[in-house]
Amino acid sequence: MSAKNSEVKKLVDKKYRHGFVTDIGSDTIPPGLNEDVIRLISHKKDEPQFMLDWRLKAYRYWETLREPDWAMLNIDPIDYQDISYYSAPKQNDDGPKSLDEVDPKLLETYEKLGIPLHERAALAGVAVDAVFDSVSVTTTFREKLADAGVIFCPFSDAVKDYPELIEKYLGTVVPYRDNFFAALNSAVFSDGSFVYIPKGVRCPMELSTYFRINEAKTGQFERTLIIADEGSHVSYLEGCTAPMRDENQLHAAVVELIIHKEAEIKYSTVQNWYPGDEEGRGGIYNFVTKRADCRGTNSKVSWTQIEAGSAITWKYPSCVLRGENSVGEFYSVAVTNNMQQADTGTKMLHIGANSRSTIISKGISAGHAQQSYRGLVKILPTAHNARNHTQCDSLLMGKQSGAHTFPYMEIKNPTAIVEHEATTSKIADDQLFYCRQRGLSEEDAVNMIVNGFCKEVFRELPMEFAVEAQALLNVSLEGAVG
Amino acid sequence: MKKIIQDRDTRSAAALTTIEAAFEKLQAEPAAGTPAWLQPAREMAFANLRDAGFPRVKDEDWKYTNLTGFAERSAAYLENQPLAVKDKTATVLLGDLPILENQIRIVFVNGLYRPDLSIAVQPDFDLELTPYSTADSSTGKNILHQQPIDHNVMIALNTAFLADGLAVRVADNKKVGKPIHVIFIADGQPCAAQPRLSINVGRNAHALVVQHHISMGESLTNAVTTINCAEQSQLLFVRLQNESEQSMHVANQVVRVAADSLFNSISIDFGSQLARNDLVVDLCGERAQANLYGLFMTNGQRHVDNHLRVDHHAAHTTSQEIYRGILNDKARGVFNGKIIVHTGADGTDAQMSNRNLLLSEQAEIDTKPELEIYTDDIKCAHGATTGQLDMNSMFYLRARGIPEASARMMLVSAFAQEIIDHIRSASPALADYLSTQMSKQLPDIT
Repeated sequence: MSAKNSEVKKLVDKKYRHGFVTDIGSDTIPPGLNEDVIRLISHKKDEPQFMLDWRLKAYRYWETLREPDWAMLNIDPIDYQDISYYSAPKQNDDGPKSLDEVDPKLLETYEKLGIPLHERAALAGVAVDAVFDSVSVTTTFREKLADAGVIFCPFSDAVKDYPELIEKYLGTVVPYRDNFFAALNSAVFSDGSFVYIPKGVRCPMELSTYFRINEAKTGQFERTLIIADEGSHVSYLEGCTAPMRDENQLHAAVVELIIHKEAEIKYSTVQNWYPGDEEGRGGIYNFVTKRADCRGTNSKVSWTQIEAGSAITWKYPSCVLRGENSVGEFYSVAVTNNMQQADTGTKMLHIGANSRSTIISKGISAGHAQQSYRGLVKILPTAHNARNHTQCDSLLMGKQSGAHTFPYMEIKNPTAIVEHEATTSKIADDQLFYCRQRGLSEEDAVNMIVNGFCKEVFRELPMEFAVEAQALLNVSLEGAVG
Repeated sequence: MKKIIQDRDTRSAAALTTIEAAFEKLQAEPAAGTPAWLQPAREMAFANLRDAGFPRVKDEDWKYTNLTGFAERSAAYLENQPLAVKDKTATVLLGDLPILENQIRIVFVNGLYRPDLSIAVQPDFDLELTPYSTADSSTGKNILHQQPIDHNVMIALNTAFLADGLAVRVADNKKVGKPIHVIFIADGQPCAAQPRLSINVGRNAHALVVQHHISMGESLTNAVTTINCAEQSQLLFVRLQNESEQSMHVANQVVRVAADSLFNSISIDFGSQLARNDLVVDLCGERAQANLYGLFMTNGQRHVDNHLRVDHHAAHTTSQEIYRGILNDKARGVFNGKIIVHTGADGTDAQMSNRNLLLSEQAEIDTKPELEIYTDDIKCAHGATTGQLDMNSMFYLRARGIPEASARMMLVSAFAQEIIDHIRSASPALADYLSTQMSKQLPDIT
């Protein structure tokens, strides 16, 4: 037992790797939310009128809503008037034209985060859009992507450069009336990424966005819109980090994916927002609405998420399987430790005939953490021969940890086959004994077993991120057994 | 949509107002034969009901089941109670039922005990069967002791209008191997029956109780069963709901299982236009065990909803839930199973499975097997499947020259029979009766 205790101690002493603050001049508006703030954000972004109108409609609707309370989360009340809704690193007025013009402090930050912004990007072959607090600071490889016809740019540029695409697609998957946090995001979102893959194009490289909250007392509200036109393919990855602070910071994002006929989007997330300290002080409140709309025959979407950070996670990436033969996949590993809470899962809405979906959800809960899987599989009468398989497994480490499962299945078509399996257990003593007996330290043994538990999900990640995810998992859980 | 929801909530609230008037009228002039010792409990329960109100559309526990019609029918029937006794229907309905091995048969009509229809029980110190209406004040208070009155709003409604019930007490070390058959008849008169059954199984005692509901016409039943299993006891509890296709039926069972005892439950729903069943089991003592089996079969535009909740409070407790649903035509089935493993319940083993057959284009099933786990040293699993009859099995039978209709019938009945077979060793007569009833449902199904 003492050996175990010392390992637990080690875990407790382990510091959040991304917890530094970058000291950089920033342009932050005072806390508070009203129509003037929204006008100010829209003005700062130099947006066309339709965007402002849409934001105001969302704001007025948001004012009529109450925070949802159905999730299994204990959340301290959030004062929405105490948050600054816009913060941007100070820059030359023209904005950076290339990486050389970006503030070196920012580049240093991304260096610390291990993001391959510069020449390392070339090696990794990944195009990166980096969002710092509220605005996108740099996007790499824009020219090379443009050659292929792919648009990959900050959302605010897209609003100016491609207003017709934004007007056509914005809010068609997640309307501002969708829920409390989607409405808030629609009103105040400041930036994010925009991707358009034209017909028949296979995006020549992985696309990736890094989100970073830096400023105190700010919220981050980004919005991602990805459109895969007929027969196209793209793989997209997002990563998130934030500094260590004693207060809770709010993050409410919206991601909309539109997948046309024969197209495919693979969307991977490594979420590592600051989770708060071991007593639950600080940490990010992460409320995210993500939805993919498979609009044509044979369209396919795959969500992969590694959820390791945040004090609170409230996130349900969903698939609307409208097209015939459309495919939705959801692979998730969620790790909660100390006082973290996560309520996460997915929705699969089968509308088209022969639509198929797979849900693999792995939850690991340690310390005092509470974690829930919440999922809905809905088969509408039109979805003949629809098929779903759901598997959600939870691993518990610690007497005070909790793991909960709330799967909803609503089936209105007799030709559908829907299967759900769930298990919950701790790491078996005999598994540990087996590994220990072969000379592995307890920590290595636990890592090995946990990695095996998550393998089905990790293998869905792009290779370089799978390695990162594995390392992240080990850091989050080291010594947590016992 | 919003308007429909508001409308439904308004209608439920209006029904409650009518029920309140009926309750006050009943307080002013109580029905003959209602025991006085029930009075304090009734008043308390009604206060609970009035404060809580009927479930609203947004209530998670009632997400898939609309209780507005039930509330309105309750209000309409309660306004006109009490009613004259009509014997004919009850006698006809009883004629179809088997006499089980033990010969013990206790009959209630519209919630009231009927000694004339019951088969007499020898007075026995080890097995007491006490109708509430015959109990004196001290026995009565003893019966009510430890019975929940405010567990949920439907139990509160039952208690508020409670007139009669049956208390079963099995003394310590007594082994009653044969079934005690308790029959609740709703004869189709406009009567809101509130049947109540309380079962106490003593230390190291064994018992088998069958709670059987039958009805005619547009009956309305809101049944409550409370069960206490003392240490090292064993109880097999069968709940059989075979009411008319126009009836509305809500049933609650609240069960406490002490250390080292075993609670087995078999829950079968064939009838009713709207049936809702809530089974709540608390495993309170170490090594307590519960096995819950269920079968629901429905067709037409009928609706059946099974809610289970098992709380593991103590170490090394075990539970197993196996429910099966067969749905045809435009029927809708709901299954909601919840296993909660509390802090301290180390060594818990809980397994839940729900399998459903959809036999027609418009049938629907909403299933939700939940786990809530607050400690780590446990083994829990649940599974749910929904589909049609297995094509390979069909092919196997068809290849042997069995016509399609018979093949379908064989497969469906085999699917259901697996649940019924859990009764066979304890009561062959009841198992045979259930198999026949099940086959009667089948011609409609294939």
